[in-house]
Amino acid sequence: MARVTTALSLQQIIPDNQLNEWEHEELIEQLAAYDAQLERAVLEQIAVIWPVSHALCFAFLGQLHNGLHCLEPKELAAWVKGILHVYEADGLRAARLYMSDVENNFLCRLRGESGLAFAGAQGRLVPYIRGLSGRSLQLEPSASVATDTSTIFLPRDVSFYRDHTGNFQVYKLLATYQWGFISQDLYCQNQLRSASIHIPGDGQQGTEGDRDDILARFFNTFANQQLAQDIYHLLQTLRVSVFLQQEYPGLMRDLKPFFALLLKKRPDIHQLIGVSYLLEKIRQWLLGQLSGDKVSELGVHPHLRTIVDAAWSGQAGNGDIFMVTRSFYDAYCRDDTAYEQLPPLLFQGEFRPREAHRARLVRRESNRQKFIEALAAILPPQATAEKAAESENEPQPLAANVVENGANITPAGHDTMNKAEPDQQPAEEPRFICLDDEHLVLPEELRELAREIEEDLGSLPSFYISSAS
Amino acid sequence: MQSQKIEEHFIAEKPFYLPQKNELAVALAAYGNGLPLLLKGPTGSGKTRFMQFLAWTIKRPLITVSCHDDLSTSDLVGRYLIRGGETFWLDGPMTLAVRHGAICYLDEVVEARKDTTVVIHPLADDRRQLAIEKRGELLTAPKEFMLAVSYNPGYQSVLKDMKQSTRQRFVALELNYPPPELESEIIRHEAGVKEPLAHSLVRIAAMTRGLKDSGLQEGASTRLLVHAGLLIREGIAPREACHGTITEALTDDRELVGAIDEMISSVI
Ligand SMILES: Nc1ncnc2c1ncn2[C@@H]1O[C@H](COP(=O)(O)OP(=O)(O)OP(=O)(O)O)[C@@H](O)[C@H]1O
Ligand SMILES: [Mg+2]
Repeated sequence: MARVTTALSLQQIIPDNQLNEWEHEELIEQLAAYDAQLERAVLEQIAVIWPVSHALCFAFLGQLHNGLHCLEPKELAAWVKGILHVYEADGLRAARLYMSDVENNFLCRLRGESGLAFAGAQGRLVPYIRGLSGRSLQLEPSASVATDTSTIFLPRDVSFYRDHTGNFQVYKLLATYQWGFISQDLYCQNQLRSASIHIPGDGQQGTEGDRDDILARFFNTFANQQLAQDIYHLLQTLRVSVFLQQEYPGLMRDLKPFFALLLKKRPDIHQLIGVSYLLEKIRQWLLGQLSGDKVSELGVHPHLRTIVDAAWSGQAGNGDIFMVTRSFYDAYCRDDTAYEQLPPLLFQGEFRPREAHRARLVRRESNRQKFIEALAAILPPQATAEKAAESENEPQPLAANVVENGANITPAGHDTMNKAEPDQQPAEEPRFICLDDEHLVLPEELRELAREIEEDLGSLPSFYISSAS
Repeated sequence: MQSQKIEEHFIAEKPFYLPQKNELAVALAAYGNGLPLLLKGPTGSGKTRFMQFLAWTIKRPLITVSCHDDLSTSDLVGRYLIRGGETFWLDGPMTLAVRHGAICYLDEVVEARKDTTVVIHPLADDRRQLAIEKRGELLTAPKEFMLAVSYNPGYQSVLKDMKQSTRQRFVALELNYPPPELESEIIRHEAGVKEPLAHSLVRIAAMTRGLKDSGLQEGASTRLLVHAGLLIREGIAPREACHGTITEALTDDRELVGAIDEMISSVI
């Protein structure tokens, strides 16, 4: 009887025609030997693995017996997650190896003995980063550190130290650095601020380019874009490091020994030549600064010094980093054939402009919907789309988004470009919506949304307002 | 029992109060027109301090009643007591305030028992009357008298929400957490600490105030920051002081405790 139910449940996951008869028999036999709870747990995992790889699934079933010597049924899911991760990263062989040693590859990590798993850190890390940033950022485990500006990707586990505390501090540093990149606008998503950025060497300067993608325009001016990105990202890392030292001095002080540790793990600089050498020189110089030992000197390149100083000054903005990226490239990358890409600094992580752009578009759409819904909820019911809508700032009116009959308007950022105001300050948060000559005070949440939308688009499009009424 | 001596309720020294906006002007205008005041705002945002400042400004005594779910009409109005075989009447705080033209401040008014509205309502509208049923007495409040109540919208619940018929009798003033510059100045003054520390404390508070979605009902109040500053000035290590005064005061959830401590150690 039990076998019949087992067979039925299995069929839901793996259709009979995908298994040989003997495979089917063996599998039922294996499952039937488990108690009901374990059987359910195993079936659930088969359902996860089978669609990924049939071979992996058979390998899993083969190792399951051993695994269950030391695993509780409730730990199965986490173990399978680990298996899939290894499989995706390094293939079937690696996954087999991983499965063969449950104790060392999985359990002791779970206990935090040889490392701290992301799952063990996130409970504290998520509220930490949300509190710190004031945004509902997501954290996700990933093969490498990065951010798309909505999500921060962190390693699956961290095992620099033997103890939990040290490894947690590393997680904390990585998350805070990525927040630093977001906050300092690594991907130039704040249109209010980037409107005035001058792109060195950009032919379309002054014409209507894609305002959304100032970074793409910038990198398009380089022959070797990958190299330009690496330079830009590293120089931004200097800028963000200064920011973090100012804003989170406690963190940067606590982690000094860790920066020293990272410095020891960098490649031998004497093996490098050309631009690879110079970039690595900057990385090691930065680690030296951050560790407080300052063991690494920049050497005798006066021009390199100037570039690093500009990024490290504490005053630099994205525009300055554009400039110094350009001058670094022009000075040292004429002959880039010798360029060998080295791993970025751990906390720096990967540079992912495309993902960041996608995340921005997703956010833009969700902000638009949220804004229209929230505004509609507070508008008096008689307000109609025909009425003039305008967003206004107090005490100064915001670059006006006046619109008649709900027609679309050009974001204010377009005009401000040509005004003689290179240091355009971010506009103040709009506090009022002016509808039919009546001022409507925006609630806190809407003001915040409006500010975010303005940062992204340069101004609050008036059709957002007319769509709500 | 409430002291009968009204003199004790005068505020002799000018309380330190930094206005957030026009609250003093609004309160004075309400007072001048015999309108009662409703102070809204999270815990530790300066409501009590503001009332002290107001009382000092208009030179009236301030009688504060902390409301709780056992607080009944007779706790407010008064009762007969028997002592040595003799019965005598003892005015409750509200009666005392009405008789002497004082400010009667009901703190966390939604906590009080529902039957207290019977005495609050006629006193809060243009009748300005207090009926002392047990004595068959009807007092009309002098123009110096003011009724003020406070209430924390963060704790709203279906049961404890304030009835429309009550709230619509009051002039409402919202006292939220002060803006960073102001809050920093308050901490410097109240705790006697220097600017960089005060500024860091304000930043930590702002971080905790954004944790509603992570399960923290309310963030650190100005009061907690003052406490942290006081301990630090006494020589307690800053991170420890903040842990004791801020983190543990905010939550028992271990993950949140950990997260808040991490924010503190990032900033300080
Ligand atoms: N505007 C302000 N000016 C001066 N001090 C302030 C101000 N706001 C807050 N404080 C400080 O914060 C402390 C707490 O304020 P207060 O006791 O008035 O809070 P509250 O709003 O009455 O809180 P609760 O709702 O918990 O009673 C005060 O003792 C004072 O040190
Ligand atoms: Mg109070």
